[in-house]
Amino acid sequence: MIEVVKDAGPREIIVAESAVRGYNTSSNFEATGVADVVRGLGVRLVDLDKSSEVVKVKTLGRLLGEVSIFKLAYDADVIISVPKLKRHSQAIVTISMKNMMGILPGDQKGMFHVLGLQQCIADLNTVFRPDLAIVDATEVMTVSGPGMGRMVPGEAILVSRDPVALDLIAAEYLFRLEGDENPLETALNVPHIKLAAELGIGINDPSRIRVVEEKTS
Amino acid sequence: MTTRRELFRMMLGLLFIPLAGGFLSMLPGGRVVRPPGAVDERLFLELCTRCGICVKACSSEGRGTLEPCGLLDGVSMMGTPKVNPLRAPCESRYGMCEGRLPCVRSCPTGALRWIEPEEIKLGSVSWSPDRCIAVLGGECLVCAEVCPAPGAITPRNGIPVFHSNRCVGCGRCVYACPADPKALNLMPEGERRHHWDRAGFSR
Repeated sequence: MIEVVKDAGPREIIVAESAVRGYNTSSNFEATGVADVVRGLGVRLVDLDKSSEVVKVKTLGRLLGEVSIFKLAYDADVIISVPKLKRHSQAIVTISMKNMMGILPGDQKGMFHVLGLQQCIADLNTVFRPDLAIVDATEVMTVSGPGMGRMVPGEAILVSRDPVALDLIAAEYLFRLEGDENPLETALNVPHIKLAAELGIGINDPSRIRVVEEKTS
Repeated sequence: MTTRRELFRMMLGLLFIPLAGGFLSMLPGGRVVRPPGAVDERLFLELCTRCGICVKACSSEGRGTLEPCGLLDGVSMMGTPKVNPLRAPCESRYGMCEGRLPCVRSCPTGALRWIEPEEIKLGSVSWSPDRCIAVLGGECLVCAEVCPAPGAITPRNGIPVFHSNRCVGCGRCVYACPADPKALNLMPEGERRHHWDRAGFSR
């Protein structure tokens, strides 16, 4: 993926993340293999938790008036959200929009939960909407995520410039893998996907989403 | 110039310092969460020289959760190390210090002794439902999300349920709890310490 982005000729590629509060982002880079992948590619790997530069931004949302985000993310010209597909006990799913919480410092992540997570995720995406989202659904965490979830093999990588449409299709895929154990009938009922569509971040009308499948060996 | 009388008074005052110190140190200390591998509290207070080396090792090689006890923890405890989950979670059981234990390995007196990762239990977390966002109707299960101990926090109907027997006392949930004031507190309840008897150390 980084090779593809390189072909577009950006000034710099930065792989950045801020992990869940209480976890060490740098050691997560090592544990997940992200550090190994980017090594030698001329890419800057940044543990956002180690940076202290934060910018306050007004959102166009309903609940979250102002949000502080890491300056590095604020300065980025293009944001690509690269989540793995998983279940989340409160957000229902963690896909490209929920993944944007990685640009928030720990206390802001906490504030989302205090104010109301679903609306806050949608509100954050009114100003920090990923320009491109790529979901890795080659292994999927189902049921009882985001920690200690049941891992099942998946066989898809989903890409879209519309994070709402992408999250809807990906969530539908996750729900299908979960079968009877999923809490909602359809991904249309995932609150933050619905709220994001209402705020005009993207499309959640399945009849207006075209899914193009391409098989790889 | 100091007169002889003043000098005499000063000498008398100096005499009282060890006396007062001895008296104050007899006052019971509060209960704090000790670093992993700590010997039982009575022996710990004898062995620990308050050198602060474990606290330094924790901040340079660990997550920096340890800090010296202050006056409020009790005079007898002052300077001894405690786990403060508000600074950082303790990663001795799960995380960067697993099998490494910089605090234990740096202890020069044996107040902290080696302990296997799976035996570590620093204490357990206590929950105040009246402050909990999930109880108050919010969308929050951050504690369950960050908990690394299998089965220690299980959500039921959107509200966390705490199982102290499974909790290892790492303090991740306390650190991450977004409620203000925090709905969670790390307590030494259920802590596993080294005990000493004639047969030697045991747990």
